Parts: sequence; C-alpha cells; structure tokens
Amino acid sequence: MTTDWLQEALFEPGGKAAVPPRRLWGRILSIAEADAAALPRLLEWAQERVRCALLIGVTGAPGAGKSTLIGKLARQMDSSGHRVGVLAIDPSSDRTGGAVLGDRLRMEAGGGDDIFFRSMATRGGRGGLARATVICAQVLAGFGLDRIIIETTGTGQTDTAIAAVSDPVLLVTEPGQGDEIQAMKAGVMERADVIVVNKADLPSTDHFCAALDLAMSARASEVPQILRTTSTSGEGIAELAGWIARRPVGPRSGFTSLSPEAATDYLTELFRVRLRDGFDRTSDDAGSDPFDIVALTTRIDAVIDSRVIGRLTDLDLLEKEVT
Amino acid sequence: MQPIRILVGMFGVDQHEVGALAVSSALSDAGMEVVYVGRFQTPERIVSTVQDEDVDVIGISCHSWEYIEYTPELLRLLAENDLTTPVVLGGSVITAADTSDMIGQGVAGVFGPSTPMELIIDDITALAAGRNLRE
Amino acid sequence: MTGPRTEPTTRSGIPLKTSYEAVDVSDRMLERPGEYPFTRGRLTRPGAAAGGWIHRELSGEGGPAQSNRQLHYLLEHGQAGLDVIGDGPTQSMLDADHPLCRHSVGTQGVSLCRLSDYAGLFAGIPLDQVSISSSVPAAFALTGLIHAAEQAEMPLGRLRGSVLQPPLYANDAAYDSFMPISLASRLSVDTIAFCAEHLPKFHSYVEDTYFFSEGGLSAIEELALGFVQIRHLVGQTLARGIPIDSFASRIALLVNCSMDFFEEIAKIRAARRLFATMMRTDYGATDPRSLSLNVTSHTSGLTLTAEQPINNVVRGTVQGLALALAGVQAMEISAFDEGFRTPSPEAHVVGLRTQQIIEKESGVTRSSDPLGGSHLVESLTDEIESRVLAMVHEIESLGDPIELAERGHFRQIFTNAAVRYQHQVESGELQIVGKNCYRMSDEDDRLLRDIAETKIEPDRDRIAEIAAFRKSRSNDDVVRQLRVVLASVGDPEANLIPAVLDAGNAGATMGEIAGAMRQAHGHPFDPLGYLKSPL
Ligand SMILES: Nc1nc2c(ncn2[C@@H]2O[C@H](COP(=O)(O)OP(=O)(O)OP(=O)(O)O)[C@@H](O)[C@H]2O)c(=O)[nH]1
Ligand SMILES: [Mg+2]
Repeated sequence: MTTDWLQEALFEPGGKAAVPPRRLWGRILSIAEADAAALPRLLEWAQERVRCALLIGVTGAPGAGKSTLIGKLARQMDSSGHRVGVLAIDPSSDRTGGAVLGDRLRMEAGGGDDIFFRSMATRGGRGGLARATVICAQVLAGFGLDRIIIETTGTGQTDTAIAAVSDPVLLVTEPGQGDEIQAMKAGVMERADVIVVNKADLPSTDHFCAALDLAMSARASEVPQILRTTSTSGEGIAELAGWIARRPVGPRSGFTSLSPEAATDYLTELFRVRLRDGFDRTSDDAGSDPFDIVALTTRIDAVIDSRVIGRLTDLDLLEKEVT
Repeated sequence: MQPIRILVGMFGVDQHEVGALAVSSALSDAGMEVVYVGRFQTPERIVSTVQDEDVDVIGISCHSWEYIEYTPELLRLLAENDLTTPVVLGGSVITAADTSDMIGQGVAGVFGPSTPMELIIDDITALAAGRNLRE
Repeated sequence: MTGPRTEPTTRSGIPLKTSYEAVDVSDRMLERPGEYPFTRGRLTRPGAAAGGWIHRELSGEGGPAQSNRQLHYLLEHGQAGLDVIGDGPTQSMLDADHPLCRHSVGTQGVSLCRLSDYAGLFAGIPLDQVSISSSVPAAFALTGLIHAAEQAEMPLGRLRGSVLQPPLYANDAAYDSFMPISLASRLSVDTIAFCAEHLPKFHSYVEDTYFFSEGGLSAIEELALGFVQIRHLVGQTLARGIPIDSFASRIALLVNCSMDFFEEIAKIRAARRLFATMMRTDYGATDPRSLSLNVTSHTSGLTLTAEQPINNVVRGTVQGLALALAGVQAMEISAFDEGFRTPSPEAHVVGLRTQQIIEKESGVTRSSDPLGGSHLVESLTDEIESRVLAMVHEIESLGDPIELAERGHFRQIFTNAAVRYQHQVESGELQIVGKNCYRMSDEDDRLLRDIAETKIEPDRDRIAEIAAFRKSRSNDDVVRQLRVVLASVGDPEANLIPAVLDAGNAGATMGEIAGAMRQAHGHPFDPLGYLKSPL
C-alpha cells in the first residue's frame, strides 16, 4: 500500500523521478525512516534526483545552543538563496523507545519561511545519529535541498558518527566549560572543522577562548577554525555562514562523494534494516528459540529464500552512487 | 513497529507549560515520540509542523480559554490542507459542556485533569492506529 | 492505592520523628518577635489588633475602564489591599493588537498597553492610601503608576504599592518576556534604584516565589531559588552604589502556601531569619526595617483539585490558618474554582470570607507567632534554613545566576519538579483527596460545578481601540523616543526608567518599548515574528 502511494508521490506517470509537493515530504521521510520494504524504490528515486548537497553536521554538549544556532544559520542560508533542510536528532530511550524531541522549540520563533525541519529520534542509531539519518538526508537532497544541517543528540564526545557522514562538522561549545576542554580533546573535537564558541554574550567568553587556544596550541594536527557566535541575537552567524560558503567542498561533501568509510556505514545500515525486516517477516514460519540452532538455521534460510533481503541489484545500484 | 509520533503544544499566549511538559514526559515513557513545540502556537504554525513532522496525533494543552477560539480554526485549517490528523485537548479549564462542544466540532478526544495517564495513552494509541489504517 | 512504605518526611523530604523534644531544637528558642533575626516576625504595631493582615483579592478584567470599576467596587466593600493582574499579553509585554493575542485580551487580567491606560485604571483611587500590588511587568507598572500620579497631581514620594521582580525565572516558569535575562535583570535593578531615589514608600521589589513554585517545587527549592534571586538583585543594586538601607526595606517576599501545614509555617519563619541574617552579615544593613522581612502569601492553586471543588474551600482554610499562624502581612486564598477556570467572583468572596473567619472568629491571631517554641516547628525551621542555605550556595557555586538562567539551569529544575509532582500524584505517593483517593463518580460530583461554565469573553473592542490608537498618534514622536530607549539600553550607565517614561508619554506602547529594548540587544523586535520594527 505504502509502495503504491510512494510510487505515485515520487514518480511521474511515465516513470520519471519527480519532486513531490512539499506537503508530502514529511510522510515520505517517515517511510524512509521506518519502512524497509519501500527503501529500494526510494533509493532508485533518490539516485535519479540527487545533486550535490552540503551536509553540515552540528554537534556539541546538551544546551550549548545547537538548535538556536541552526535556526539562525538556516535562515541566513535561506536568505542567501539556498534551499535548507534540518534534521534534528534527539535520543530514543533505550528502555521504552520513546523520546521527547525538543529541538524545534528553539527554531520556532520567526517562522514563516521555507526551511524544512524534521525532528528525529535515534531509534537505535549510535554515535549521536538516528538510524536513518543518512537515508533521510539523501531524500531531502532528492527534494532539491542543497544545504542539509544535521543536529546530533548532543552527547558530546561520543557523537563521532557525524564526522563520517557530514562535511563540515561544527562543534558548538559554550563558555564556562573550562574543565570540559580537557575532555573534549579526545573524541569529536579531533574531527571538528570549526569550533563555534556560542553564547559569546556571556562574560566568561574571553576566558574560555583563551583556554581553548591553549588546548589547541598543544595539538600537532591541523587546528580547526574557532568562531564566536551569539545565536540568540544572531551575532557571528553571517561570519559562520561565510566561512562555510568559502570552504572548498571537501572529499566528504555531498552524496556523490561520500567517504568510503561513510559509504560502508551507510550500506551496512541499509543491509541491517532489511535483514532485520526479513527476520520480522519470517518469524512465524520458523522457531524462535534462540538456543535452538537447527530452528535458527532454518529461519535464516527462510529469510534468504523469501528474498526479502534479496535483489542485491538495489544495493549495487546504490554502490555506484556512493563510491 | 514504528513509534507513535505526537505533537504537543499550546495556543497563543497560554503559558502554563507545566502540564504539557509532564504529559510529554509520560507519553515518551510510554514509548511515543513527542514533537514538543511548546508555547505560542497558532493553527497555521501547527499545520505546517504537522506536515513536516508527519505526526500521528496533535495534542494541545489548554490552560486558558484561548483554545475555544483556536481549536475550530485548527480543525478548519487541517481540513483545508487535506490532513486527517486527529486533535486531542487536555487541561483543567475544559469543562463538561466544553468537552461535548469540542467533540461535536470534531475534536477526537478531551482529557481532563482527572483522566488517568493510562487512559490518555490508550486513547492516543488507538487514534494513531486508526490513522495508520486509513492511509 | 498507597505508595511504597517509607519513613515519614515533609513534602520537601525532611525526615520526621514521631515526637519532638527539647533536645531537637537549638538555642534559637530564645528568639523574640520583633527582634533580630525576625524569625518570629514583626511585633504588632501598638493599637493594631495582633496578627492582622491585609486581605487581598485579585482583580483585572477587560480594558482599564472596566477594571477601574472593579477596583472601586472592591474599595467600597472594605478591601484594604488591591492586587491588579495583567492579562496574558500584558504579562508577556505584547500589545493587545498583536496577532498572537487575538483570543486572550482581557480574559485573565486587565489589558495595559499605554501609559494612559494606567491613568484610566487608577482614576479616582487614592494612590497614597491604597496599596496596589501589580502583577504587570514592573518597569511598565511603575511608569504607569508615575503617569497616573502625575495626572492626579500626586507627589511621587507619597505613592504606595508594589511590583514583582522575577528576572531570572519569568521566561521559564511564567510569562515569557522574550528578553535576554541580563536585560530583564537590569530593568529590575533600574526599577529598584529609581524607586530608592524617588518613591521611598513603594515596594519596588517583591520577590515572588509563588509563581515559579506552582509547578511543584518543594518548600526548600522555592526558598532557595527565591534567595538566589534576592542575592543577585541586591548585589547588582549595591554595585550601582545604592546603599543597602535605602532599599532593603522595600523588598518583600510573596510565598506559596502548600498543604504541608507545619512545613509551610516553618518555611515562612526560616525565610524571615534567612533574610535578616543575610541583610546584616552579607550586606551590612543596620536599619531594623531592612532586616524584618515583609511576607505575603497566596495559597497554592496546584493543591486544588478540579474534582469535588467544595473540598478546595477546606484546603483554603487549612492553608489560610497556616499563614495566620506564621504571621504574614497579607494573604490571598486561591479561589476554590481555580482548579478548572479563571476564578469566578463567587469563589473570590469565599476566599475572602475564609480569611475573615480565621481572623475574626478563630482567635488564633491574638498573640504573635503562637507556634514559636514548638519543638517541631522550631526544629523544622532550623532544618529548612540550613537546607535552603546549602542549596543557595550550591547554585551560586555553579556560576553567575544570569548565565545559569540563560543556560536553562533553572528551567531544568522547574521541569524536573513538574515531572516529579506528576509522578507522585500518579503513584499515590502524594495522596490528594478526590483525585487519587476517595474519588467520586462524575454524576455525583456536581456540587458547585455550574460556576465553571461562565466565561469571560476576549475583549475585541480593546484590540480595535489599540489598533486605532496607533493611527491617531504622532509616529515621529514615537520613533524618536524609541530611539532614545534603544540608545539608553546601549549605555550601561543609564537607568532605563526615564527613557521608558518618555517613550510612553510620546505614545509608544509597551510592546514597542519592549521591542526596542530587545532590538538593542540584537534580538528581534517581535520575538514571535509577526510585526516589523518601526526602528
Ligand atoms: N545567552 C545565550 N543563550 C543562548 C545562546 N544560544 C542559545 N542560548 C540558550 O541556550 C539554551 C539552550 O539552547 P538550545 O539551542 O536548545 O541548545 P541545544 O544545544 O540545541 O540543546 P540540546 O538540543 O538540548 O542538546 C536556550 O535557553 C537558548 O536560549 C547564546 O548565544 N547566548
Ligand atoms: Mg537542540
């Protein structure tokens, strides 16, 4: 049923991939997020549609101001003619699967523009990203958006996955986290292209920046750019947008040139989703006692026979695109 | 199974946010994804959020009488945009007479201050399931 | 039904023993009413009946003229204290004709947008005799009062009344003014400083812990956050070179009164002691009036239930009694229908009568601080005092309160408390009669229900009036004065009150003045994104 709907939404009667009307985008993303069976169709469509889009990763500790900053940055890019989408990720509870997705709150005020904004729960995704982050980003690019901003969950140092899928990576910090500079040295700080010192209106900013400079000077590798912003007022946002615009498009930009590492992550994820789906569908046919090896083997065979994960050509197709 | 997605917000300058926050946390504990949009919502803004976020249910927390005027506006705007997303209201200011009035206008559920949380969760779950079937 | 069996504690978690003896209390037992550290409150003025307090009642509805009639009605009926509350838009510094306010003007309070609105609101009211407590953004309430006084040719030095100063918490726990916390805080200090010079009788700073604790804060959290803000604002005012004794006596505390009887009494006693010791030892105040805290209270709306509304009258009585025993300077008992509507006039009268019965019939107020010396109450007072101090120091050690507020630290405290409260009610850990125990079926629960069905309509004429006013005034004057506001905000030395007053006199509305201030901080003129800035 979904597939019919999707077919109609994504393709012209003649079979040509089209841009669906804006009001359907949200629904299509839900399908991309949850419906493995629809993925081949979606990816086929995306392959035809996607042009180069910049994936901008935004990470940093909870409350550092990521959402507020993204709200301003997105508007800045929108007004300079880009078509902007935001994927804002918050953690799903391991226990209940539920989530409170609160990033929209900070971006609401001002409204009335074309920016597409979607809140996502991780749904089992690791490293600060949602399971379906890349797929959704790709679909957004298929809609014709050329600036896609991804806000990670904000678990800070462990949000390393963002570096595999986006370029540039913005690490948002706030003054008054002196002790945390030490901790930040590892983890995502290594991968950040810009360190944004947000809340620069706070009095402890100079002090913080000095500590940051010190920490940086001790580093052997390439030192990231440090920029100050006050996201609540918008100060520094134009500079940040300018920096992003001037930056040469790196090897990780866009879908046509995902890094091999990111591509592998992406493919693994796709494969995992479909495999899982295959198990779910065949669970009735075979036993599910986890210690019954014979039953388990039968079940795996059933999955393979059912060809739910079959049609490897879909994956081949994808591979052409990402490598 | 994909988690239920529900928008939670408040109309106009109705600012008593405590109930909305507490309910959001309870819904999330029940396994739902709550798109929390908070205060200062208008029907227009909610409709465009509903489209982008593709929520299954719209939940409005009411602590002032503004909902009486805004809710019919929201229902009309949803219909104009071909959206069938059910709307539920919650809050202490909604009296028995208001409840039947709102239901009559097309609101899918009204929860008062004494509605047990389990019942709210069950109702929202049923509404979300009904919606998935329709599609 | 009942929660897990645990050791008994107060609502805020102080362990309780089955009985209290002399060994449980410190040598504080020697404290006396009317003396430092004022734990036991003030000594009653000679001649006045002991324990008398001001009976307040909220008012404000529709536009200024309608509310003015309400105020006159209350005064004619012997009310000594008035409490004017602004409607939702006014509390958020939005004008009546803002698009987001279209369904809320005048429903939950009075709509006040212009200086002339205050002249209308206060017309014919003796502003030097009646003390009007205003729940309206303070800088605007003050300039409005000044304007009304000028119209009535009343010298500023004689003005009485009070305003609330919630700069650290308002955005998170009540009405958002969409101002950076540093600006809200500066406006508070400007108001306090201006009044210290020009309005010596005016209470320029009521620390209102009521509104932010209504989400379910414990007594200890309530006081701790209150004192964090008091210390912040006092510190900032002193930094302006204003001597402590010129404004400390203008500070009053408006507390919540929940259902834990002895804890609430001990809370108020501890607050008085904490205030006195802080003013003396931390800030060097010497005038006794700077040390003896004026405490007023509203009974908690959160403790009321929508179920069986008549039970709320009983709750109000228990709470009112606690306040009478604690010795407050003014009180207001929440209307019994507050659980399900904006209070009705009928319910207000019951609240007033409750106070009168406690005061005139029960005889509990003949002597000051009648519970002073109770082993339990003294022990709780000591315990609350030390726990509040510990929490104040803990918060202060985390950093500047403005930064903490900007970072959402307090918001987190409020949210956690709300979730905790919800959980306590649902689990039955906190028993609430009629709600999670001793429930009644909806068919049987009809008593006093019909009152809830009458509603106040939004005042649409008022919206039209303000919109028309904008067309009638001189825009050049308005813009010129708004530029002055903008420039004054940019000058850290300037007190903003005169600029606000001048802009108001030129016809600028509250929404525009607030917008100009936001703009001076680089924030949008209209935080909700509907209006264009005239600047
Ligand atoms: N003073 C100041 N406050 C800011 C600034 N940017 C954001 N804030 C405030 O910081 C708080 C947190 O902002 P968010 O944008 O929600 O932060 P976040 O990093 O997205 O938070 P999570 O999504 O919860 O991890 C909010 O209260 C913002 O208003 C700034 O530049 N200056
Ligand atoms: Mg965020």
